[in-house]
Amino acid sequence: MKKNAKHDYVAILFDSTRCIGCRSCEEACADENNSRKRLWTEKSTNSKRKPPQGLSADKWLHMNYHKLPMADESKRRPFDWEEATELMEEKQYTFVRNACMHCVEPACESACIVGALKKQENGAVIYDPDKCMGCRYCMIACPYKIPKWEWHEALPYVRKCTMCYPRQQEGKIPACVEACPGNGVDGEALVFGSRYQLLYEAEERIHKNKDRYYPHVFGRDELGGTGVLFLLPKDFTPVMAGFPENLGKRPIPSYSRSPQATVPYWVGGLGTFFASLTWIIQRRQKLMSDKEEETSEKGGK
Amino acid sequence: METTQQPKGLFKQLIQGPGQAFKYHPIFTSLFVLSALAFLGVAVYRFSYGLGVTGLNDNTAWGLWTAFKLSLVVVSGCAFVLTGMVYVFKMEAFRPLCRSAALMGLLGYSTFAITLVFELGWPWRIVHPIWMHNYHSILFEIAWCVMLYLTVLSLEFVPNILEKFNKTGLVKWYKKLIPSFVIAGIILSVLHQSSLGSLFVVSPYKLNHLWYSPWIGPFFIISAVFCGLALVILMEIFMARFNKRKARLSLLSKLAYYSIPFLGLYLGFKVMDVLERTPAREAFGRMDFFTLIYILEIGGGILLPMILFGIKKIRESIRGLVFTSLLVVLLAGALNRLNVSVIAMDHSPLGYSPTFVEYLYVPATLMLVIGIYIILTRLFPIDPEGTPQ
Repeated sequence: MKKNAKHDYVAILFDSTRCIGCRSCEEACADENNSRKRLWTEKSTNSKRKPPQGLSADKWLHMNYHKLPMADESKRRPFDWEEATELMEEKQYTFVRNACMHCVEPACESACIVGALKKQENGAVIYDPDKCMGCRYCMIACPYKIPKWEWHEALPYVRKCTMCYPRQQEGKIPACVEACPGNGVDGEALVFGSRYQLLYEAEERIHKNKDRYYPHVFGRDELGGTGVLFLLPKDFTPVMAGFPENLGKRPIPSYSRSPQATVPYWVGGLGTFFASLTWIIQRRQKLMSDKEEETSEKGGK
Repeated sequence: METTQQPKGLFKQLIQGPGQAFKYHPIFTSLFVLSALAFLGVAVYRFSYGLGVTGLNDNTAWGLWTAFKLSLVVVSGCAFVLTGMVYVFKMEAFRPLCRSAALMGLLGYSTFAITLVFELGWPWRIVHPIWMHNYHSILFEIAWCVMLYLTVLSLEFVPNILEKFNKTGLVKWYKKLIPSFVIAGIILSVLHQSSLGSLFVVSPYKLNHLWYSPWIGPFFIISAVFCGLALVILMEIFMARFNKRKARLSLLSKLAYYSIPFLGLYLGFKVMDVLERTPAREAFGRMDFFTLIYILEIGGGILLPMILFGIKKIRESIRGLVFTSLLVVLLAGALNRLNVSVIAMDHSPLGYSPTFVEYLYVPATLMLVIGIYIILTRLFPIDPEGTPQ
């Protein structure tokens, strides 16, 4: 991965205070990635398993609803899709985008044994199905649990959001961003653009409206930064939004880099150590047996 | 050996070779055939329907088979430990056990590879790491080490074949190469045994902090030493019982004795590790299911065997050795690997329960491996002292 290319990465800014929960992005994603058909057939839900709730191999973008902290919990109504927008206006619930984060330093890329998952020059992390051998180490490595597996297939692939890389190659913006209608106030819940500009814009939004936002752009430096930036409502912590607890700034690949970098030294060091040990012990034994022979010869005389 | 007449034909030579009389053994044969059938059944079912036949899901990408694989590798540490003792440290007393340990290693790693084929989504792409490289991946290093180590173990097996067919000159020449194989084997073992632990350093936000440690690599390699020793003890006692001979108790109690410092080292490191890291202390203080299973693993698999092996009377009795070695292999070896790869990984406790196929695969494969081990010890001069002539 080119370190100096980080500035050029594209990103998606998700402002959950502006999201109205219409799920147009989900639909657009399913249409674009040709998974709508598969999602709504019975085959995708293996009869032994529950139907996919949240992300699955056939659903690369999922909008999770979460309870917003309320002063009076007794007023909270149970969630209902019919009145989702109302509930959100009343600040009872909020939506959070759940899809690949396109990390600046992706754990899956560093984990993949054959390099099937690769960070592209524009920042999208995409998957090469021809390389994948199906070890599922990416699923273990991803801290956000994004890569999903086609459990129902005899020859399965890993599936996840590509940030619409093919569309981007054609000069278009990701389908979910295009589909996002916004709430008619000032702009849309999803914005696509250069990561640096979006970070600037996100900070600006927080600065201008401190009562509305949680005072941190999630994804600015979590695990080295992500390609999807999150603006969350006030008093709504990233942990409430379903992100892992105590996320540090250290990128996941750096955890495996240190043991990996020392491999040549271990080979050289251990090789020299055991070879010389063998030689020394052999020589000592030989000297001892020579000595014994000598003494026995002397004794013989 | 030289006195027996060599029958004509390779196959006849193989099965009628010097003194390796085959006798029909009803229990052994039926178990072997049954497990072979079960194995075949699982293979057909899994390869025709894909991994949907297992209980795995998106939250639990690795399950029982992964834990089984890791456990196989940890007990296969016996190969590098015993060959190292004999060829590097020149403990000639253990030479009779050396070849059987190397064979156990070879079979263990072969089973590892076969289980991996069962687990992979695209089984025939198992060779991809040979020409598709990602140097950042720990799994990539493991793939190469295991491939190379399987080669080394096969090379270490060659003298058995040469001796079987009485190629005395070749054997003499070949045996000069063995020490270099042994050293290569030790290096490769240290690398991939520890890397199998380091596999999990990339999941600091998923693995329970009692097990997640920056030192998980060293833990894995140390546990390979004492689990390997315990497997040698178990296998020798089992083979003695099977062949109706006396087990070489003096050797075994020495092996048990040697494993005490490694158990102690591991115990010390583990305790320090939990005391040192704040999240681990917190996880221990929670006293939940994970703490209990951690205590079972460390107390039952490390501390108790340390005490038991330390008592001379237990160390020198067959029952004591079997019981204690079983504790080590099952609790410190298998349970630890199961915890790291499945139980303590981040998912709801009921999110994964292995299906019947997954369960069936484990005992069937184990039985098959033991059967193949017995057959090979009869066919080749692996352990001429311990096999009926």
